[in-house]
Amino acid sequence: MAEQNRIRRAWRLMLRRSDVDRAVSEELTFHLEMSVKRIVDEEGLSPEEAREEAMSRFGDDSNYQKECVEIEDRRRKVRARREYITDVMTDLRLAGRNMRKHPGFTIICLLILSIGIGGVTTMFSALHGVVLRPLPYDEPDQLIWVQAITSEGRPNSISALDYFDYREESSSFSSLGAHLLFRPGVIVTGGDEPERVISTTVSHNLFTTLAVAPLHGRGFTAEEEVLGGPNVGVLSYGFWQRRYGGDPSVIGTGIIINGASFEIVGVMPEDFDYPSGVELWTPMQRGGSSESGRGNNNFFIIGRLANGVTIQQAQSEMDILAATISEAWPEVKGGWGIRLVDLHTQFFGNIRVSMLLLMGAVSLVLLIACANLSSLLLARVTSRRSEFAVRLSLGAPRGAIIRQLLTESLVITMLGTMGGILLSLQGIRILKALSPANVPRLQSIGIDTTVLLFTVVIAIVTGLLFGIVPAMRSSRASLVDSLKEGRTSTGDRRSLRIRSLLVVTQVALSLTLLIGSGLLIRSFMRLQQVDPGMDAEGLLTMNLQLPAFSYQDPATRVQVFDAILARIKALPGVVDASATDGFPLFGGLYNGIWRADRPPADASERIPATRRFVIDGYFRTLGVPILAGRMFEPTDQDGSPPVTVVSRTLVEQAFPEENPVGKILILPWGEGIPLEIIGVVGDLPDYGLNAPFRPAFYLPNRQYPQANLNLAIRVDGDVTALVPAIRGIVREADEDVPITGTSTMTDRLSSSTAGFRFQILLLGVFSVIAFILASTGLYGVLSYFVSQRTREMGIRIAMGAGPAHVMFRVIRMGAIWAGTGLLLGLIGGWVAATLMRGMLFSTEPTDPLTYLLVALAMAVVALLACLLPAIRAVKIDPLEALRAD
Amino acid sequence: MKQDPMELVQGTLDMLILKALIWGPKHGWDILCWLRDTSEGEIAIEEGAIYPALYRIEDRGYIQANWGLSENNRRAKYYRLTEKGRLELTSRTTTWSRYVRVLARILAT
Repeated sequence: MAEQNRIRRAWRLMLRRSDVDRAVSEELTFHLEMSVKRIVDEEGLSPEEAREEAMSRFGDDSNYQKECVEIEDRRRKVRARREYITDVMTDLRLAGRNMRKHPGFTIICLLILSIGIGGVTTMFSALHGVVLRPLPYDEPDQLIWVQAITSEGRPNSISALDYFDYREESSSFSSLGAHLLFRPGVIVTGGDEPERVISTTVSHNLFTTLAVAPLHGRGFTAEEEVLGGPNVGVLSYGFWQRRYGGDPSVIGTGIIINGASFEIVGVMPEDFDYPSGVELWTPMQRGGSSESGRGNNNFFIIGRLANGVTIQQAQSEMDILAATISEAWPEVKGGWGIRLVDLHTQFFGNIRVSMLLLMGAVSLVLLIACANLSSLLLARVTSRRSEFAVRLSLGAPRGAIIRQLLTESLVITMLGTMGGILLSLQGIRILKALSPANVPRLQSIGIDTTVLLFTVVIAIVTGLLFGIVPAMRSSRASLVDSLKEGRTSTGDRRSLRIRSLLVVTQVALSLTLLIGSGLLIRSFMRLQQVDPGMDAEGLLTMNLQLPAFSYQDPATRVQVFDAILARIKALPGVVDASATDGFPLFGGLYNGIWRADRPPADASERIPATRRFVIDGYFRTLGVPILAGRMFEPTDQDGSPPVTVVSRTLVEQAFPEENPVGKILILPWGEGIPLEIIGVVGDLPDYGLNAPFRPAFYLPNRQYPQANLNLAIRVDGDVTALVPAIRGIVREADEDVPITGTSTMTDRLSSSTAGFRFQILLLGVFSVIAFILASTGLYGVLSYFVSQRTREMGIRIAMGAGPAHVMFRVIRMGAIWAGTGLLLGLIGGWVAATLMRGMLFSTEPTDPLTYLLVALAMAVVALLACLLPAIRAVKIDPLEALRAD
Repeated sequence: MKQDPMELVQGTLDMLILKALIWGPKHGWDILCWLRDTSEGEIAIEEGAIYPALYRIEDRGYIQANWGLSENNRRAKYYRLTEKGRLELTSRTTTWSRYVRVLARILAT
């Protein structure tokens, strides 16, 4: 009865507007004809006269027609809406009942969807938040990185004088700002505790260029950008909260920076972090030492394009300006140019590659999840063919059946989406907790709604494609065929083929992912085996910054460090202690030096070498091998001949096949300092474990006393137990010296690879998810295969086929699919590995061990997935099997 | 001698249509003829006006339309009174009778 109602409703729904029109017109025409007939019969008028009379009695027929159609249309619309709602409710109830009836199917579907949607949403949200999201400044597309290019074509920072010229001459930019290339630590005193704060110097208009207004107070003015102008500073939100408890009345009060008095004029908003990590901004000082000299390339420039100006137009203008400067100052700026890059590319271009890799991985997981879901839905529809055939034969319209399937997949998708959202909320939390500190902007990400929408749409499309297309096909099938063929119809064979194709795809894709992460893990293992060039175990490190204003005399710096180091060495458990201005692994400053006997023709022939200042005993403390000559002694001090210790790589480059000890290197400071090489040490990975060694030279700190040094303390026993004692020693020596960056050398080593480990973690998690999905997919299809073949298996067993034979048949099936998938996956893995070659470290993209292990793991799991259904097949009771259906 | 036909009072056409259908389904022409015959031509109405009225009443659920064959084998749309319509007619008739009674009483004084 309900079905009959549905048919009638469907029929009514199919009536189009013009049908309403036609029906009304037919009714009115009927009336007029009856009227004419009666007038002719009873009043004896001619048909023509009668027609006219009838029309006049009827009134304005087109108006009545219109009125009727309007009423009828409205009525149908209201009715259709009401019926639609009832139908949806019915379908929802049916879907709910169906899901409860097949809890296994429902749970697996929901799991796949949740994992798929959750995983993809998490990853894409991270990706979007870190890389794709526009910069947090107004009109970010207008922001341009103004990159200076040296005569050798290398990107470089630029002098303040050049910057001022560009700012005054260019018209393509509405604003051109600059900031110091360094982020020096400054010492803020006056409170309870001296504090080391990262600061930088910016042009007065940098904040306005970025279009970020201070939260409190103001930014800088042009008058403050000049040497001798008022001493003013702007605080970061974090620094303001930490030191002043977020008190807005600090604006206008004083702050002691490096012993000088400054006025606080502003506080920046919480999310402003440029240059990254800076907590205190002071204005440039036009005419000051950093801001003088054409060759004094201390600054970076950021510009905001004027409205309507393209980056190409700006580039042409900057080319002309750069050429003018280049001509005017040939000795320092000859051949220099400017290249404009949009700011987003400048900031995130280099992490884009690894993010793209992850995006690829995520897409593969999504594909696998969809394939898995399709496979399940396909099986479900196929197994319900008899149900549909019966309903069709009882008169159910195909549309109703299709709509019901649609509702079912929508309900599953919705629930899966909810699971996915919950999962990705957790996922993002975990991601934030695990990520290394140097992934920009990761801490501020949240679920990205666009991404979520995208994945949900994909899931729905999958549901439609694989849940409804087969349903439409089977809803066309005849009842007799469907019932007669029972569970071994040709349609089943076809869907089995589609499902096996899907399984092959899943195995192939997840193997591709596994190979990718396998290769990364191998790279990481190799990285762990890299000799760090020192004995990192048992080394405690920390940074001490002497307040420069109270240590104007270099000799006092030497004295205080000597005193501190002597007292530390005397502590029980301390084996040795020394200091340097910069530890390996995280880069450092370099100078272009050359052999005194081979002066370079031009700057490009100099040897760029990392330069570090060290206190004597540094190499011994770190355990760096001494290869030749002697190390620094306390006698290598102010007034004694300038000496240097060089690294093995520098020797290989500058003195191949020669004894470097006693040779002279020129350091281009002032008139040029002739450095006598007194010794050679092993290489240290100054730019990270996975970077090739670069030449390095070391200078005795006593000859160039630094205010900011990192202590290295070799400890026998618990490394961190000594920290309080050392703090006490420093405090006693000078209570205005802040201690920062206390950590062990092994921690430094591991944080240098944190980014790499993070990538491996992400890719690894994805591979495992893909792997699980693919295995369940394989298992699902094989179980389905067995359950469809119950009767056939029963007959075979009844005819005397042994269990081994039956098992073999099932396993062979799975082995063919898994094998094909494995083969394709190996090829896919090879392609992926070639693409990610740049991310691998001393590992070939074709590393045989990785391929072998991954394929083996996949094969074992595949076998397990085959085994369970095979065992079930053996246990089939032939009598039961034959009675079924 | 015959008087001039009267204009219908607002809202009474619906009631008259319901009344017309009380003895069984009719098409629009039949309803009109019944109305004219019963009123003996004393009610003036533009014939077409009963159609929007019919559609409106159908929309309210008082009558139900079905296509059928007329006496002369033509396709015609027949309207049938629903239970709801029957109740409506009863209630309206009561109200109207009262109204007419009260009005007559007032005017008679």
